[in-house]
Amino acid sequence: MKKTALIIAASMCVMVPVLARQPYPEYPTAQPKVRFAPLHIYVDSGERALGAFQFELKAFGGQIKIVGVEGGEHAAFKEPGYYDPAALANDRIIIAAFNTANELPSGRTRIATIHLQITGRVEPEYGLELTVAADADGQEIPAEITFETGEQK
Amino acid sequence: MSDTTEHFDDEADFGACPKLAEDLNALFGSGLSVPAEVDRAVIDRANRHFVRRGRRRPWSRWAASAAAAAAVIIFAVVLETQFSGPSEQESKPDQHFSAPLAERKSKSDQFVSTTLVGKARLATDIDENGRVDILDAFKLARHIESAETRQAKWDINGDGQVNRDDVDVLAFAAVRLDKGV
Repeated sequence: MKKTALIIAASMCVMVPVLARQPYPEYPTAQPKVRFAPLHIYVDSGERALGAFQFELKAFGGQIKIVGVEGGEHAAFKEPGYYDPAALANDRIIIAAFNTANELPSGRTRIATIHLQITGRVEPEYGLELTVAADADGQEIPAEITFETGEQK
Repeated sequence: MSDTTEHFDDEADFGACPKLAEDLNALFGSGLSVPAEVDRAVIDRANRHFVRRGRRRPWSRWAASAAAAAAVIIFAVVLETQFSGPSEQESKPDQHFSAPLAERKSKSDQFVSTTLVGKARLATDIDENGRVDILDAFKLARHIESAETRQAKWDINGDGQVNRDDVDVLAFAAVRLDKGV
């Protein structure tokens, strides 16, 4: 009887602290919030056809990781562009693509969507720079690059 | 109570036949007697046996206690490991948008092993504007498609051929994070 009581007491001593530490989901925890957000990249080449582009994206503020790259809306850039695999799990990426076909987009077109993992409640800021854009002949053209956030493409 | 004992009266005549009673006595009668030495030996042996069992009992109790304690500790450890920390799946990046990643990495590594180490970096500047960007890959692709005379310096990966693989290696050179465009 005495030993049984001892065993029960020892069990309580071990179990109570362990159960007290369980982070049940219904209770608020100290874990930072993690969310995923797409960033849509657009290039406006005006009336000129867009045959090639290269841009660099850098995210600032908070903990941000690039977790995926999606292609653009036009068939010529439907496949994800070239990028360094080391950019995944990083906050900086250089993406480039070209197409030698005749059917090329012009005007404002979505050229890529970058998926980000954002840790914390800080709203990130983005630095986006168009390195080069070219027409169907490979001649550099002036173009404007912009981005949009949100699920809508 | 007295009613009950009346049923077990020794004097009651159950009507057994004398012959049957005689046969039963012959079968089950106490005609044999156990010698006192045998009786003592049996009792001694039984005592020794139960003394041994009695000595063993504390050990078995301790073993049971230890097993119970071990079970509690293991259960606690399992609980601890099961609930502590974010799961691997939650923090794993979603990479389904970059399917040809392995192939890309292979070509990217190919660039490192051939161009940067074995060949001059200037060979990747096809349009000779002083920088390596996607337009170099674009122009090489154009040269290949138009079936112009292929220059040996366009064999970026050094496999003896000028083809789409060289274009890919060149494009990866343009998007490397550790370069200065």
